[in-house]
Amino acid sequence: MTFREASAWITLLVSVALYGWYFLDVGEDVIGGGAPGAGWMGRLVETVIAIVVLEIVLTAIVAARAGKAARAPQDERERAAGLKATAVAYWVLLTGVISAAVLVGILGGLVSTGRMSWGEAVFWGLNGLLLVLVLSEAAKSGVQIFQLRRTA
Amino acid sequence: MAAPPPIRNHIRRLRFEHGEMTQAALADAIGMTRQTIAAVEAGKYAPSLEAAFRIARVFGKGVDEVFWWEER
Repeated sequence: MTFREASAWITLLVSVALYGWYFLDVGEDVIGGGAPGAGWMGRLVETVIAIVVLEIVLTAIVAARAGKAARAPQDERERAAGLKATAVAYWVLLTGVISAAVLVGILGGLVSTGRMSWGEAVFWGLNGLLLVLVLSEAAKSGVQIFQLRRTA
Repeated sequence: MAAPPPIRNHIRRLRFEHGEMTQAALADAIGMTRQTIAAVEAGKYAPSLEAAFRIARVFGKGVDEVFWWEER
């Protein structure tokens, strides 16, 4: 496995595992119609910090094991895989952003009619956007891995 | 899944004829990864025209002596 593929695996697995844990954790608070827990913002910050630290540490370990290959520029096959992955991630992001815009509109309507509090609307809006970003990043890493393995 | 490109090559034989050159040595000579050379050699990845020329030049051959189009 090349350094680029290992790096993509790290991004994919760390993001899916930790954001998955975060969404399950905050999801437990709202399943069954309950209000989102007060500490969700703190848990989100903890999750982001954990992801950044874990990705840096794991990538540093993989880079140390890869030696000079980690410092070498991408070759054309790796660049092609990256471009394909970015193109797919773009469509995931675009679809998600349009969905999030619709969600924000619905949330605005619920808040204006008094059927939802501002706090709940912010919770759903921000977590909806976060989910879009996570899915886009996961799609990018997943397609990159698929492309690299398909042509290896 | 996309079919492999219809481009075949003599890289394996040429490496053998050039002192059993390793894939890593060929990769270093043209600025690619060993995995990409392995993919080209196995016919799973079609190199760019520039990469094809670089590979051919390492062996002192023309591009058409290293790569060919295989009709299906």
